[in-house]
Amino acid sequence: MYKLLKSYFIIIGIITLIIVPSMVAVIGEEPFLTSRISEITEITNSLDSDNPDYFANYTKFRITAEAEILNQADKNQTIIAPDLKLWINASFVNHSLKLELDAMGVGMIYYETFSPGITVETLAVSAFVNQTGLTQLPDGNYTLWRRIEGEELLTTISVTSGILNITYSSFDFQPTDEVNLSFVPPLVFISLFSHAIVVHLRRKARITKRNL
Amino acid sequence: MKLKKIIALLIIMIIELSAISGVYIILPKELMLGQIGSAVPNPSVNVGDLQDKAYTYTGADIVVHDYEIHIDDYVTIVVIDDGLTSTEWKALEQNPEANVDIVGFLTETSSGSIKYITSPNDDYLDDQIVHEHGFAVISMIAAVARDVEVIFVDLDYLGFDPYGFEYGEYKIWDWINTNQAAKDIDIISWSMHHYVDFKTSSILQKWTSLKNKGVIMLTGAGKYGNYLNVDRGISYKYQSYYTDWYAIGSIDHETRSYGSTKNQRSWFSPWYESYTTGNHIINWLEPGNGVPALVDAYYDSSQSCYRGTWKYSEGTSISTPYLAAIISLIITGYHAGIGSSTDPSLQKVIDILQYASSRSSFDQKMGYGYVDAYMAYGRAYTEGRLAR
Repeated sequence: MYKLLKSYFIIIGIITLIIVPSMVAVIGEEPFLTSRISEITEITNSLDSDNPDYFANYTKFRITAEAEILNQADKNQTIIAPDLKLWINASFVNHSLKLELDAMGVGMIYYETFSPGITVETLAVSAFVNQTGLTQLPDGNYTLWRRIEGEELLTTISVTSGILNITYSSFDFQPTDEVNLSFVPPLVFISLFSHAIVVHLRRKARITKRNL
Repeated sequence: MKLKKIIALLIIMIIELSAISGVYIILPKELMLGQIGSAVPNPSVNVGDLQDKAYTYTGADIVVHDYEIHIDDYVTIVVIDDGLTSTEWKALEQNPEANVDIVGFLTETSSGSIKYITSPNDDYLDDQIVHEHGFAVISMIAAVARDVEVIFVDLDYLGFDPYGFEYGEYKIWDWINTNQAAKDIDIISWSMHHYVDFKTSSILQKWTSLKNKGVIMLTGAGKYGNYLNVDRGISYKYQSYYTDWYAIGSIDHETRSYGSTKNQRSWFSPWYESYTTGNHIINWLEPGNGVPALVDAYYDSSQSCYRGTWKYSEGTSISTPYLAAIISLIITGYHAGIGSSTDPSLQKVIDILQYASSRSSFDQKMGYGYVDAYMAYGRAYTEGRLAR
């Protein structure tokens, strides 16, 4: 019985020592980041015809917005910065229209770090709509969000006869499911300590038996 | 006795536990970063004398430092990028470790006219909002192609700048094509990418014309580490995918840490087609994972010069100017061999690059491997001698 218990404790200890670090190395930290658009500050259009072949049939829109990034962790979070931080997609009433993102990027890897709490930033996105001379966003439903490695809360823009109805998302301040590995060292300690106690009790029992 | 053994075992386990607690703080993020973003130690040796492994890997140190080969007056590289401030321009020309000669800054005014600036003191440069990437890219050229002439083409990055060309503008190609001979343009290096396919018949015509004039056009392959450089469903493959461009990926010049193996494609380096017809492929790789590049231009009053800080950077943004710098050495070597400023043909340059490639066969993800600068320079000189 004691031998079985001893083997059990040792195996548990070894497994914990081998598997847990590997898990930590693979999983790492949860990002804890949430992004939202707090305000759309400007929507402009331009009849850009710099490229005579390409832009001639398009209207270019540019949306500027205030974004907020909530870092719910108690330390800085660093992530790879996306080329295009503000994204938009659209579903037009006129199905012949399509939206193309002015998605430009660089070949360099950049990182961005967010302190605990809320970081506010001004971002912009440009997109082409395949119709010339548009003076306002075409009727339809648009979705706008700040790209991030974490939870991206959406802002929706509904356009009907040129009238915009914007719905912003709010942060949910419920605590996140934090990955807590602090239980691991106590677990190993309890396992080993229990083993020591069991062996000690066994030895004591033998000595008591002999004395009797 | 047994209790002692158990106590000993317990102590050993606790020591192991303390080692594991060290593992807790080594997270994938840090493993992936490696030295990225950290300052290059002893830059006068590692960059000035090219002793960093990023340079010794290709033999650039032998050509540039040991043989003291600087680029002659008949090689010009066009760099298309996000912006360049007055301070950055001066830093690239005065930096003590390595520098280039920026001969012009091409941009488009808000009214749509073309402006060519030849002095870093021009007030127009003060309004640059988006920059830094261009600074880092040109510094990579400076490290290997010392004194080379550079023309900077300024893009308006996502509409943030008050001036600059739109990404897919025809005017850029019209100007470069028109001025190619007068400015002696040999190489175009573009470390950016776009989702929209701006290729038109008029742009294609200019690209073909430039190729016919012997200009080699290099582009960064991207940074999303997958087929066609896709990020969230959109493929950033303009201009990498197109026949006229040679797409450059990144190779790891050393085993750095998580996901990095020496002589293998870097984790972020994308790839294109598996067949070579049409050149919709990755052509070559050059080091791009942990290569010194300049950041944060400033005036150093102690040395009375403008300069920047060398930091380890990553991306095909670095691999592309690296190859552009090696091609500058090829052209300079050919000039030295032939004894005049006669340029090698584009096909001759390609042949030399293939000769000095680390792979003899094409691989979809690695192209023809990396180009060895020492082999390329030697071959170029020989070809020049043979052409005398």
